[in-house]
Amino acid sequence: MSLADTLSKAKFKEESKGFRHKLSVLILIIIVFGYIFLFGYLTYISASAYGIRFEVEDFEDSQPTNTSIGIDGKVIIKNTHWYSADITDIKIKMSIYTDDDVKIKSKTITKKIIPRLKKSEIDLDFTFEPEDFDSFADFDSLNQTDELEIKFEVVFTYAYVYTINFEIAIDTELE
Amino acid sequence: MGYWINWVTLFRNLVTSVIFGLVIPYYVINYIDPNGDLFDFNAVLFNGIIFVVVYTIYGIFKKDLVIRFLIGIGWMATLVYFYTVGNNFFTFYLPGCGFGYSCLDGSYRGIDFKFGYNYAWVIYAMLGLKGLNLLRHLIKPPEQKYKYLTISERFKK
Repeated sequence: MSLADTLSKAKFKEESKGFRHKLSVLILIIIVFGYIFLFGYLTYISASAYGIRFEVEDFEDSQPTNTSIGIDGKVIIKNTHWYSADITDIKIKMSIYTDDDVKIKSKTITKKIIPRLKKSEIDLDFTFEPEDFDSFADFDSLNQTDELEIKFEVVFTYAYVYTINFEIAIDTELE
Repeated sequence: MGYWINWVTLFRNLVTSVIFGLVIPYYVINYIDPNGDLFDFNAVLFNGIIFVVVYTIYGIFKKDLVIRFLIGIGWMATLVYFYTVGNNFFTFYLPGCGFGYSCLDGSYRGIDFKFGYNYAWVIYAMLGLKGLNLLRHLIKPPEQKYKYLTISERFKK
């Protein structure tokens, strides 16, 4: 007997027909509700993400003392619309690279949650003091270089299910 | 052999897969990204051809045959492949870089950027629902099919 013959004769028992019918209807109901929930939740998340607004304030390079260098500012996140969702586990990492792509230092700012229905602020204080560096020579090389690459890496979880990350690299010339 | 083959689903699946796997991607990608900066056009068409072949095979056999169920398992494996590589109808032609993870890596007005977006939970949910549907097709008594779902049957009654 060939495989095709075997497979064509493999059938359920006639007595199980009623049970199989009920089970298939139950599975169909689960599938329908599953798809409704899935597409409903996707639509909600897309709509709620669309309503978020960002504002960047007082964002500028700073040199509070002769031996420090940094970038300060704050980001205001307006997550206030009634259909908003929580933004959690936010991590903002700023790294400084020299013109020959050597990483000098990085700093990370974390925030546990930006709750829904609220306006939140994230203070970005990327000021580097000499003691932040492993050696003064590193800090000095930062002060001596003519060109820097500043890389921002942002990671967060949206609505507890999506993980979103983006990275921006900006080249700056120092005066 | 004629007893096994369902010509209606064979033809339906062939037309559907050609439309969604080849025709629509061709026009969508040429419209959105004519220079090929964002999408891998060859990868999209390659996956489109896989989609046409597998989905057409999926429609050949009648639903009450166990071989149809085995092909359905193969279809699930193909879906896992599609979700893994991206660049196809099931991931809406997103450039793929992993299972349920799409990413972009490029430059805009001289500023380098990378963007990643993890939607793996959607894929797990869809695969689970498709698997349940496959199971439903297997256990459902064949004579129940279409009798109460088609409008023509209701008109006849």
